[in-house]
Amino acid sequence: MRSVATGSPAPAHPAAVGDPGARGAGAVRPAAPVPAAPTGPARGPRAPGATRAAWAAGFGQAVPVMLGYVPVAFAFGVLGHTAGLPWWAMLAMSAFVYGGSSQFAALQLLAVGAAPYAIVLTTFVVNLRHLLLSAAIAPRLAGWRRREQALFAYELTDEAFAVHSAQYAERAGRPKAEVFTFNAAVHASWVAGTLAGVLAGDLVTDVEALGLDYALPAMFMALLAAGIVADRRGLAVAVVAGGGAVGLTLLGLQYWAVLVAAAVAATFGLAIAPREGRREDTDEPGTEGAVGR
Amino acid sequence: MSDLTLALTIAGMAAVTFGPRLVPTLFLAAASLPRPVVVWLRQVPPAVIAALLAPSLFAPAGTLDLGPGNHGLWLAAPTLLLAWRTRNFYLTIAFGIGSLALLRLVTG
Repeated sequence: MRSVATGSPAPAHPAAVGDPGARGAGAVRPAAPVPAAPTGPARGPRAPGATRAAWAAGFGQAVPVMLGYVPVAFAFGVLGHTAGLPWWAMLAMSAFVYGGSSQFAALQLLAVGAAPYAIVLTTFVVNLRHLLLSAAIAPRLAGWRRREQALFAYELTDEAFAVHSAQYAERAGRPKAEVFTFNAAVHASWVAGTLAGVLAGDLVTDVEALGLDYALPAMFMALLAAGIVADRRGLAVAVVAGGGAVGLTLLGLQYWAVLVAAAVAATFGLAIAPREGRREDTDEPGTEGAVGR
Repeated sequence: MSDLTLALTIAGMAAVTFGPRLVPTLFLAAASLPRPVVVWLRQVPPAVIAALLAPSLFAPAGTLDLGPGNHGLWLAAPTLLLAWRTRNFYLTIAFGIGSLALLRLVTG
């Protein structure tokens, strides 16, 4: 049976990928440098063209994540409805918790009548990996206002981290308007997908036929192969992390898999980093200034 | 569970999720970190992304699946190759989604 939520991303898909794709590709090059005005807000009246370009770039980067988020959030909404949870609780989880795997875990626990403290504790464990993401991206936010940093952190999902890491590696001085446009669009798609799922209720949907469950894995592969893995050391780190995460998942420790495997792999990467390599690292454009100040 | 308990549970979930997202950002953004920590943190993006990706390919349902029915795993090779050769973000994702849909259509 076809539903509103699964039907809508599919027709939008070719156009959505094609159109902002062209802009996104152009935006990779720092063709329109936006002055990093620490005092003025990103939407300064001086450069409306640059701001519009930043919005377009941020939205363009968000499209693949939204394609991946909407069906998953939709499934979350449907499951919540089936489990008899009120609509506001589903929306509140997607708006305020905003962590996919933890929300599904909470749903399972709520369905079996688990105690509130057990649900909160499980959420904490599942989402503890964000500690790592937050620490790794923090140097990019040097000089931001506190409330901007807090808003950024609030919307720091795995996918947002992946895209922002890749984008900052290419363009250290990307405008904040681009970053927050991305975050807002992606967050909105998560909430909207949840709402659609709650409304669709008992409708059975065949999300898998559209292949959209591959949007996020494909995006992770695109980010890894197109820059995040920059050299052999990066490749070794990725292999250790991926293998470790699979191993931990098979052992039933899927909640800990990402945090533990990534921490171990990063330590491995540090251990195999040659001294010359570390020196090269410091000379990377953009990173040194962000870290050293 | 009453509505109030449910609301408080969700508030607790939101708080314990926001904490780990917020604290490192606030404390490390302006910090001058020792070199090994900087190098370590630089390994985190490939590590985290690979750790998120690999289980979804090799164990999509929580158990190891290397069978021919695990389309996502077999599509990973051409998808990665395409990403590496073209460095095209959108083309790679469109290829991944499209090929999986096609593969499912063909294999029923």
